[in-house]
Amino acid sequence: MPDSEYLTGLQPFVEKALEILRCTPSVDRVVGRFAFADFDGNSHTSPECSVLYEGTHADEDLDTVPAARRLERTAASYLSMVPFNIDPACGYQETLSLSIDRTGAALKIHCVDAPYERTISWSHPGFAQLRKFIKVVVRKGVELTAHQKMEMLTNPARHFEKLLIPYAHRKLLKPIAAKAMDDNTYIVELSPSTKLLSKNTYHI
Amino acid sequence: MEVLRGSPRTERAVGQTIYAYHDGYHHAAPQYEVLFEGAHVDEDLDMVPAARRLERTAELYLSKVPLTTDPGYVYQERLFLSIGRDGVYLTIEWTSEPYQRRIAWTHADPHRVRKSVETRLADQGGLTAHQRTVFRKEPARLLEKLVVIDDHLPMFKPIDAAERDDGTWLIELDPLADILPLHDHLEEF
Repeated sequence: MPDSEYLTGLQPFVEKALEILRCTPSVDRVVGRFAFADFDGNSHTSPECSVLYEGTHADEDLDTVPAARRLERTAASYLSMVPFNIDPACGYQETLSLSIDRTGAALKIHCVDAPYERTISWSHPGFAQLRKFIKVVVRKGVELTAHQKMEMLTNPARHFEKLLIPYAHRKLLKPIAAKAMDDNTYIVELSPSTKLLSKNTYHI
Repeated sequence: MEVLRGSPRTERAVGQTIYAYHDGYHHAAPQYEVLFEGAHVDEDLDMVPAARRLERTAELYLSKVPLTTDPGYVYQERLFLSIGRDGVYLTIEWTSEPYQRRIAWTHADPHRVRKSVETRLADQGGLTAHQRTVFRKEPARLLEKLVVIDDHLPMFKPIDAAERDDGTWLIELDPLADILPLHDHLEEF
């Protein structure tokens, strides 16, 4: 599934969130998420969908905003369109969050057992200024020299293959910029044409 | 009641516990949810502020009812609080047994409650016709035979009993009986 397909599917969710932000000035941000509420030591259960509101409002303020209840009742149907891995029997599971404020939105997929995150962000209206990122960690056993670290930031494509924990498909990701979070972690910006969220892109 | 007043096509609001996950051995902790029964469409309730308030706070209230939800326990119970325009009933079911306790009351007379237990006999089919007649007249004597709550039911003061087609018995209890901490007495079982 191309990224554009489920991003279009998320549009009604985004519109409802913007309606809430218009009606409730004290709400700064609307966040829809799929998270794992239960962990039994061996596997996570199925994730639960919830909608959170960040801001200085009281939750009761949203009772009079019809879009708030509508969003809460339908969030799962929209967010579940995004291809991410929730199977507890699989080697890894991911959580999803879609965060919307008055200027733009960010869709993040985070692997629950690894410091690994994919992000698509864009500005309103529509999908203006669409940007894609992946947070990656330098592979175990790989030591970057100071020179390589500098080069990583100026020419991430060259050193990208040294960084990714997941091995497959890295050439499809088309890195265009990188920012160091610490010695081991980088936020790598990818070409908007990268197919970022397809399930299993990063795992063999 | 505020939701029912604000949405005439809604007939009943039901708060319930649900177990979303079962791994073959035990249920996880329950989740609380609110359902609205009636001829309305769900969007109608977006315009009723009390509907969202109820959905957001249901767990706070329903979790006050003493029932066993611990997945590590021998049994788990499920709760329903069903509210219509005439009255209310609170039902606690055992998830894996035909066993139910219920408290019902009307809005017109909320202090006049009816309490009942629905369960089955320890010795299925072991009652003679004579015994059945006796038990209907003196339900307290029936309770000694009940499998689920055998030793403790006398304190529930039964006042009526009726056998159903499926072999379960519906026993009405004295309104003064303390019906909800029943799980404490089930602990031994």
